[in-house]
Amino acid sequence: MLKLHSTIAAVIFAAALITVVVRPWRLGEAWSAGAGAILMVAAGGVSLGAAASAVASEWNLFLFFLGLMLTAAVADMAGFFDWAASLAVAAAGGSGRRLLFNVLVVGTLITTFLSNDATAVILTPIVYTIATRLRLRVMPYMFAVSFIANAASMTLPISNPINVLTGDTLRAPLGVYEGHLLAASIASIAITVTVLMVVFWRTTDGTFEYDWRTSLARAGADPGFFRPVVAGMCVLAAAYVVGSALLLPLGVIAVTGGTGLLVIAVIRRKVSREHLRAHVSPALFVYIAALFILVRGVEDAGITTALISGTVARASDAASAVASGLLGSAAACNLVNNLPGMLLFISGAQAGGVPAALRLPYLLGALAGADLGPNLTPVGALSTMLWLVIVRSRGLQVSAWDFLRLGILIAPLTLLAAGVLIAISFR
Amino acid sequence: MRVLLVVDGLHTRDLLGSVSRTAPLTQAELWLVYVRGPGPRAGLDMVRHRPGGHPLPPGRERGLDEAESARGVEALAEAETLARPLAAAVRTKQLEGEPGRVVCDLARVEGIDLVAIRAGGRDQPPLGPRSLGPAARYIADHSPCPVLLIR
Repeated sequence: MLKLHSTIAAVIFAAALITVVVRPWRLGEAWSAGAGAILMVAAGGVSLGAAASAVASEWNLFLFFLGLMLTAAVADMAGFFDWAASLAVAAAGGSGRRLLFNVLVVGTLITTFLSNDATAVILTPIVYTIATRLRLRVMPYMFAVSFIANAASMTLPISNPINVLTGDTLRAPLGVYEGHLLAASIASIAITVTVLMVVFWRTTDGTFEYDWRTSLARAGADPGFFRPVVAGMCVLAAAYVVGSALLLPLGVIAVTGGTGLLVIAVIRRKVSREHLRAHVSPALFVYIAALFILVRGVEDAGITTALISGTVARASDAASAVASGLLGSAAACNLVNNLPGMLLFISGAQAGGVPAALRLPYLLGALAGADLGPNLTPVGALSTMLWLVIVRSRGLQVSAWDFLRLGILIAPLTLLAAGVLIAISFR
Repeated sequence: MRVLLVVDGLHTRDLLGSVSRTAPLTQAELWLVYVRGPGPRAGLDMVRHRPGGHPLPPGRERGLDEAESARGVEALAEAETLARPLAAAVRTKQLEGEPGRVVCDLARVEGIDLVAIRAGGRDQPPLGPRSLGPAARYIADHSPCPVLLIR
């Protein structure tokens, strides 16, 4: 009976994840995951009460996502991202190479304080527009934004929603988090910047003329709106740091900050429905809730514990636990996606798949794998392959192979450096 | 003689120099063609893709279109200035679509005698094999007339 239950849960979970990755008929991820979650409950893989509890217990993550989206939306309405990009162009002094470096710096800062998603979703089109307008090669700058969004996403607990999820599980204050991950994060950023600068040294040798004063002025066209928003974002960044140190729920801080910024936009009559629609995605909440239910289903069936204890079986000390978590989650995140991948690891570790003494190094290793591993392939290995097939069938030439070639260079280097430095931090 | 040169906005001077040394441009009608291909935008969509989706705000979408169009206009204007002293006549054209395909279609419709294109891709990173970019490869395979690949 137990075996049948496990099989049903495993089949539903696998089918849902495959559908999420493959996206048949361009079906949104939320629909696939949502249908899987409903099936999991209907098939008895998880009770309705347990499903509700699995979702409700992660209220902090939901609030965090909402807060991030609101913050990003208002920052975009105020022209903050355009302003930051214009600053990068101004500081480049007409040099394509210096612009590449500056884009990497801006990407690092935005990822650190506003998450990797803000960098990928909002900064990318701005950088694309600037590089196109300046008649520079576009792709080096796109690669830069894409890779730095992942490479810098370990810096703070708020730099990647996965960090919040892991932080909630570990209950590790900022000092402990940074004690183990800061050096690894700095190393991964430095490696990524170095590799990209070396690889694109010749192809970014172009120069440009740019009226950065006009552009900067246009980006912050309404100082009465722009300045309070930037000030609010600085206060929010400080609140994140203090909140992480005191183990306060980051979701509450994020949503309070995001709402405060939205109030500024309302007062200044600058609320743009277009921006809100573009940045606040209700489907994402459905997707995440469904993933929690699906993972609870396989957790209750004992599958995550078995999987995770398999990956940690040979770990005898902190260093080997870091390596197991890092390699396992990097592989899982490239096969599926980093959120479901990391959820499996957290679930398995919590359910007893990892000895208590090794849980911290194992999960921090897994976190590094989930944050840095996606640099191997832009949207996960299977998704990338699928993306290639889709765009080629539409007759387009897309540079996914180019992303893969760079990822094969960057991801192993950053993972190796992070693994070694995190392992050393446990000595 | 009608010569079609695919302008990429990055190597115009070199491309024109190579073509003028190889083909008798002083007797030729030179077509300068810039293609707004969908590849970079597809790459942008791929990088931006997140579960739940985040459509571009219409203003941002407009900005992208304007930047792409302006890039093409400037690239063609620069190429035309450089080409005028070299060719008997110069025509410019900005096209939209998959670059290899639209260039071959234009060559077929306009009775072009020679298509010249830079061999390497415009935005490829300098890693791995670099023999031909996707547009050059398509044109080499499907062009209705001789093709000049420029290194």
